Amino acid sequence: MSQRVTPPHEVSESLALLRWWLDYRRVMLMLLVLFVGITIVYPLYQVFWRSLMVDGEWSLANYSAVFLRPSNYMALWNTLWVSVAATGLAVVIGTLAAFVVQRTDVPHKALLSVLLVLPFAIPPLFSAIGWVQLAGPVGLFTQWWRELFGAPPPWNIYSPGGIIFVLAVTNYPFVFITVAGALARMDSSLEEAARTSGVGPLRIMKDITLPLVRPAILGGALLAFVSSIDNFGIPAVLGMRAQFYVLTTRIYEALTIPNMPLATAMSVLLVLVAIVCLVAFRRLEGSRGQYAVISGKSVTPNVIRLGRARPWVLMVLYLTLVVIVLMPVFALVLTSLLRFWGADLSAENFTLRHYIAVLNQSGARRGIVNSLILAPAAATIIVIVSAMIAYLNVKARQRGAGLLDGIATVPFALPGSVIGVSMILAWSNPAFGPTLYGTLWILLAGYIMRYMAFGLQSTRSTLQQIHDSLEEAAWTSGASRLRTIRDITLPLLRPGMLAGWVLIFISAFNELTVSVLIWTTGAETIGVWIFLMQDSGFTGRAAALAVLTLPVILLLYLFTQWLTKLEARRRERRAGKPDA
Amino acid sequence: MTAILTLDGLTKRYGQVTAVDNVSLSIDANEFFSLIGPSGCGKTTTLRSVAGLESAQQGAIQMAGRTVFDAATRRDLPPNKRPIGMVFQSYAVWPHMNIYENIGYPLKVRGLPRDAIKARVQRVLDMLGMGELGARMPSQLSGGQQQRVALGRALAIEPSLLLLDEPLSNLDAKLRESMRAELKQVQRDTGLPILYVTHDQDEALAMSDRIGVMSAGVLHQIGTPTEVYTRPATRFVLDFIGTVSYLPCDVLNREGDTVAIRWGDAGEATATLEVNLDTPERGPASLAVRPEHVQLTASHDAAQPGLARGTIKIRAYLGDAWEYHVRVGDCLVRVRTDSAQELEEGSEVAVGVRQGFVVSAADSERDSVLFD
Repeated sequence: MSQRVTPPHEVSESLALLRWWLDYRRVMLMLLVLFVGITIVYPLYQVFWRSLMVDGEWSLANYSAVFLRPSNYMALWNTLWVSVAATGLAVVIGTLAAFVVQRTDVPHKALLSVLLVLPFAIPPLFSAIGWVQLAGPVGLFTQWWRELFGAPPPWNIYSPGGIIFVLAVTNYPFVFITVAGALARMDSSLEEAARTSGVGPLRIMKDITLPLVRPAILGGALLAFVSSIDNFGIPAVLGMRAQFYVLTTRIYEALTIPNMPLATAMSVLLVLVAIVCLVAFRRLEGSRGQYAVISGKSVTPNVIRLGRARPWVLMVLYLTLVVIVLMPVFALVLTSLLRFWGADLSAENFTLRHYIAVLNQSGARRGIVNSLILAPAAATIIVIVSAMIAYLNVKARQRGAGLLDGIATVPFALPGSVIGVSMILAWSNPAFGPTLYGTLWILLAGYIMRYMAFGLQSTRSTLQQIHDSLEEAAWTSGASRLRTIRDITLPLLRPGMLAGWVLIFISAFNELTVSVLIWTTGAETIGVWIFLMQDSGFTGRAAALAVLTLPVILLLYLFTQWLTKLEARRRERRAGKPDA
Repeated sequence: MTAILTLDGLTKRYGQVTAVDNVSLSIDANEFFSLIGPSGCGKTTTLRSVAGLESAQQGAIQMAGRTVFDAATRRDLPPNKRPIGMVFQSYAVWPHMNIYENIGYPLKVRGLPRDAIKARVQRVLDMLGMGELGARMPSQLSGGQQQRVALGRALAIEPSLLLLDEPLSNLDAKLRESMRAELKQVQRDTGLPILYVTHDQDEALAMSDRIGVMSAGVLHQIGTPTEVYTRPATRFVLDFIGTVSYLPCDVLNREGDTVAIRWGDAGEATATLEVNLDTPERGPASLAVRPEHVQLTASHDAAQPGLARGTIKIRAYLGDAWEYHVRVGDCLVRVRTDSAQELEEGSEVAVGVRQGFVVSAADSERDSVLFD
């Protein structure tokens, strides 16, 4: 207590103060605050500040400019209704699939579960190109329809409907995963109580099960929605040709002119849309009440016997999976191998010329190299920084670290276009430091901002699972703080860091939304090249480049699946002990 | 005897809450000392302050002749600089190291040569009866075995003081009993002083040389197990250690160390008991009795002289004893008798008291009053 410290101790007190300031936690926090300040807070501040500035004066002129031009106004409206419709469709697909897999006696459940989340591994841009090749004017499905009915098909892929459909089949796994998870963890005694009261299985689904998983459905819907308003690749490939713009594509256009203030103001609008929807979903979720019925125990759920319908349900499921998951990839592969799209599938029409063209193009080669540099660099930096932030927050309980963690997670809720705009504002003519615009560094900075939350999420949750006493035991065993971190904390944190690293690598490797706004000649990425090739009509080359990256993505994706399975099994084993 | 550990006026606050309030105690060489109290009483905070995992705001801690903590001079040695071994409630066996590496870690950190570590770890494993399990991973061991590894790890450096934080509370009842004996044996063999924290009074009474009873951060009493059981220093200790039933009584007169009382439904029973705690001089009071100090006699007649009338409400057969809940007036008295004395529920009995505590009447009856 300070009041007990008498004058003779004053020297030791100032020493103690010095030591307090030089405490490793404090020093670490300062450095991390600096890092987060430069990479996240400063760019964000730029967006909001610049959007309110016209010729050095405070003004709302940028916003009125956004709203006065109907085309911008339309972009905002289009973003909203397209995302809502796509989310609705994703909820239907995801929830139905989850119920069939979890609550019926359909066979092949393990395989179905893997296939149903496969769209997560396929970049949205690839899906968009694949769907053009399937349902576009000369697409496979279009041709089949013509041959069958002798008339043009009733759909047009270059339309809002096309965008909604492709967004939905890209994003439904969000809903599937959350709902299937909730169904698997639900306390079956609630359903059994209804069954013993003489209620039939279908009625139980409607009256008991569905209301109980509603929070999970809403949670999945929220993720699908945010992902929809964030998406650039799909509305760019399917919408721009039909002059149908959403906010992300409108921002892209504004930057090619370039009209920086307009792009900035629209970015802020996009943020507001995201925030409003987040709040709305939260309230919707809250008003339903949080049911404390989804516990961690494994159970034997209320299963509907399909009876004679069983093979039919399975067939419909597989057919759907083939159409919405496998066919786009197949179309992509076929495109990359055919001399031209629409050619007969005979031997002389198969060629590797698109691959040769891509690999001979120095820009595309540079894009591959750049992505191979950027993705691991961003993943490594993020994982190290977020491990330090999470450690200070969860383990050292350093005051301020929780706030820092929260601030660094904010960009997770921000659409990629906003991050791209903020990068240009912050680093094309920065208030301090070097100009990063025109170099790879700006892409690295953008990826760090965009994926910081992934790293924090995985390291934070891993650290929370490491009981404090494990570190304390090392400490009381004679190990110093630093030695404890080296010998105990880091080895136990490693799986979480690895999982986070792979997730960030996959995401950054084929990133498009941010990259397409901030790339420059010499600093292109794979995603940018695929988009540019597709956009300028070289669909074969775009497909070839996409197919080249697919194995990398798929292998890493399977690796993460394997990691999470391993982790789950280890947890089960730990929980399976009689007294743990 | 020289004190291995001395706490002097230790005080630890968390905001407005005083978790440890001016606690002083000392532990001698070879001594098994337990801190006991309900959860949140500050016993674990005291232990963690001794380990260096918490820093108190006031007071001092001496360990093996060295000051390891002194609030006045801001001296606060970190845990790794204190000569201690510690066992945690959750075992805290490192899942990424095998048993050998777990137990050898404190030695490795201290820079012992490899063969010295090997010999020492093997000796510890043998002592704990796990000689063959060195290469196993923790996940392959049972809870009891993991707890033994944690104990071995704490013993490996032959510390000056062993700190145990509810080490047996995660084990099942049978295992707990055997680990209790094992722990006591290890302490006898090594002569290691132990500071043991538990909320389980049976554990504390069975193993300890001395016990400190804590509540709301305050250390109420330090004494041998028999002292805290038979001569509780405060009402809290009386309530917390063992079981007591409260009955209303009247103090007739007090002579020296004894007091004459009248009790029972109609004041028909009398007793002469020792003065304890806050025994009043005269007038209404409470009689606190332990189950084994009550005597039951089957009676079909009217009152026997000196005994109270009672009715058996509930009985429970415990194998080695009978437990009866006897209604006397408006109160229920818990009684434990020899397993040979079987009485029917509903039967009338005469109730006598061999020993008891006569305490002031304030808010003691509420525990035993019947609300039927």
